[in-house]
Amino acid sequence: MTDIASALRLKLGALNVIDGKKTPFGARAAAFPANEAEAAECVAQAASVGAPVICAGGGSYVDALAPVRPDALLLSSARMAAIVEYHPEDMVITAEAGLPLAMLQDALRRKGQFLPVNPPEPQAATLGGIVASASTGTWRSAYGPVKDHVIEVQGVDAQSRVIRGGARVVKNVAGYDLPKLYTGSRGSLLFLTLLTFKVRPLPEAAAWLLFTAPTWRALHERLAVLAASDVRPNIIEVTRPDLTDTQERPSALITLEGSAESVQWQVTAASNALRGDGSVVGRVDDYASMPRSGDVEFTMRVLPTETYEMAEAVCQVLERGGVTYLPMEGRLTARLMAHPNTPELIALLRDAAEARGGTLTMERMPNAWSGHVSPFGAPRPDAALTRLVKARLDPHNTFSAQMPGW
Amino acid sequence: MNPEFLRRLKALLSSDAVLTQPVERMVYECDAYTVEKAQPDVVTLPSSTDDVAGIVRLCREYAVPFLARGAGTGLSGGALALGGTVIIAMARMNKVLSVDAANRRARVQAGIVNTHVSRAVEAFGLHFAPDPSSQSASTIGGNIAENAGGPHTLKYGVTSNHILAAEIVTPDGDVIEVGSPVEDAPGLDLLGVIVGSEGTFGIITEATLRLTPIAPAWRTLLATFDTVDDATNTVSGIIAEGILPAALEMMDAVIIQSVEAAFHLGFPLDAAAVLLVELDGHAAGLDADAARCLAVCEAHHARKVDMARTEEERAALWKARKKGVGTLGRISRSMVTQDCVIPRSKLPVVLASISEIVARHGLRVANIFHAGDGNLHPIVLFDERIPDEVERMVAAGHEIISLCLGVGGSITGEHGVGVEKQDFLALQFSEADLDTMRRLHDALDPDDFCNPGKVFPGAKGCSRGCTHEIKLRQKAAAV
Repeated sequence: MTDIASALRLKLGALNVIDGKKTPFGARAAAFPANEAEAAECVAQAASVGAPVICAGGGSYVDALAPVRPDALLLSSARMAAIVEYHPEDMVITAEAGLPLAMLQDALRRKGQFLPVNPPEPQAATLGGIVASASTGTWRSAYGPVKDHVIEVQGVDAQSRVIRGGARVVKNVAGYDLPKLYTGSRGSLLFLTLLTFKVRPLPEAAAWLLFTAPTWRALHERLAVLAASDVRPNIIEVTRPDLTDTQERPSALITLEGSAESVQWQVTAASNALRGDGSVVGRVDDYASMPRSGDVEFTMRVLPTETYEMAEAVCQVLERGGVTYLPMEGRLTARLMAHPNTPELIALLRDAAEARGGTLTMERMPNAWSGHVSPFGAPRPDAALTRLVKARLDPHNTFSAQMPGW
Repeated sequence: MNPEFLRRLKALLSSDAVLTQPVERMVYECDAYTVEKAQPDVVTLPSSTDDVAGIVRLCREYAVPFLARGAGTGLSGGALALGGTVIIAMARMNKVLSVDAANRRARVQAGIVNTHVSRAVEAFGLHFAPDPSSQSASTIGGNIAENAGGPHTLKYGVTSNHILAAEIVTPDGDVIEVGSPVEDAPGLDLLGVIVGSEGTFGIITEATLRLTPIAPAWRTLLATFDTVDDATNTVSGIIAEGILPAALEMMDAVIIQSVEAAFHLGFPLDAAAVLLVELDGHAAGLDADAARCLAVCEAHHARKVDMARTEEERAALWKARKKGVGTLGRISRSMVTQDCVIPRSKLPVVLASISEIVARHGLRVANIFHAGDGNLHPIVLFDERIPDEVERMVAAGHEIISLCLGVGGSITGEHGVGVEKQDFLALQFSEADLDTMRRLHDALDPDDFCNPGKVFPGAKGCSRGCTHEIKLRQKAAAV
């Protein structure tokens, strides 16, 4: 592997390859290519000696599910962070995979547009990382998953070729939909280099209502009334910042977006629908939506109608930590500090989710759990097909280092 | 066709579910892409997933390729039975299996007609959003295979955005569920690549659909223009204004005249183009958005802008749009609908070039298309009885596709590659890109039994399509 680092230094420059004790995450080497040709060179060098390649964007989740193998090459897109093409009149933007989301949104906002994804930490989260992990954030319930916004993907494959799928137009069915395949593939098939998104006009207006209720049941009941009304919230986000905080009053943040007139009407209608046991605190400008920090994070998915039931189960099983849930989507995210019995509790919750046809996916967990706690749970019915695809596209398993169980 | 294969096929299905007579099979010799025809050796009409799996397993045993067919409304020859293929026609699998209104999901069989789904869930205030112009005939299975779009995809997205899960019979005859009503399961998005794979990965027998609430209010405008440029510039103007209409459609003079002759809707016969603009959502704010659209139209010299005042007037406008292509049968014996996508901002220059190309080939063209998406549908009018006209039509089509690729577009936005555009795929993608797609295909159908000869450049007339004939002959020789 030391030879690989030396070889890559000749191609990438001495400052752009790290090895030895300073290598991030304990990998044997880390490379920071400036373009696709350099990235292809890195993959080729790694493949030539059978070293696994770990794709990294901002790096915040590189070892989130498993420790980095000491023989791996960490391949970062951090130096590939330019906006390559932006045509506001076509509502299409192309950027390199290492660009942080916040920088993309800044460029779009200046033209009255936005990419409707809002995962945590937009200053650090790169476009490549967001697409590879299919992280959409809370805007998903209003605008759909990130895969709906990715229209072209380019990257370096396991054969160290630059390949492309999709097109820079908002509709396209030419050939197979490779952007769908690579979105959410968690770096197991391709080192992403270039991404094209279709974007949307910024809503003319937005309002956020913070609704509180005396009990969780009352909160859920009023939200059900809201759901049955003509109000179409973009997002409903319920957060229990810490389960140990019994003084906390149950609350939900309701996001309303659209034309000024529409938002004004919806604020009034929503306030009426929520009238009863609780109260609308009023419009809020900022909201700390994520639970407090922790070294364990997981996401549960169930049918939307089962969200409250699942949320109750989470609160009963977990003694501490926080949970955020999006009832319109059936998504719950929990974050907590690890304790010795946490894996057992997570197993209980996973059983409950899977019994409802849902899933529990670990987003982050202590490296010590690797091999004991499954990141993804029971195999899907199409797991055998998935393995066939992986074997054809990455026959030597070059890109699978951080995909335990795949 | 091997008589033993036929005998077992008839034993597997009911007697009226296996069509072998030439007159019966003739109906299936092409889809809505009528330029090429190939009669299947056998047509089967399964009633269940078990039937489909049984047919597929039998086909594999006798080395006979097969393909699924919905309503045959496809426009790229995707349902063409190349080289002795067995057609598995899904028309009898047309039921809504369940509706989960609270979670906005429905489970349906693949042969159900698109509009029948919306009709079945209308009472819940829901509908299936993808609305291809063929929606009164085309099936959900066909919509999935082609990743069908439609006028309202501008706001609501294409078919792939509305499919949550599918039951698929693999090329080996296994039955597998892909995707889930619960979204975002970890792992590769196989469903995402199956949608739009033109039936080359397996046969979809059931699907779980995402349903969309019916918008509580709408405003539908018809803007009339004296020049095509003014109309296309208005499209860019509306988008630039930050308005996202539910639909933004354009019809040119040829279509206007043809539609008016057929339906007598009062369209201005001397107009160069009309734009159909639909806004939907909450009633509050819609009038303001409509006023903004009106201002953009007027800024681009619209002769007049009419607004539908009733549901009937709105339906009449949409009838013109959705049935417009059909009315061309009154003025032309034959037609081929192209399907290219370009960046919206290139509409004025590309439309002008298309007119020039078609005129240079001595033919006529009609344009009726999804302007908001930049999804062009130039319809080249010709007479298929005149060989020279067919050649000129093909040549003009090739130039149009090259033109669209030249401005950064795509060879197809919603009709698929099929057999029509196979060779153009290599103009849009590199050999490495195509190799990746072939690897993906070979992972799921390594022996190329499922709708062979489609999508890939050269597949129709080369080894991939012919291998089954060879295998079949070998099998027959062995027997």
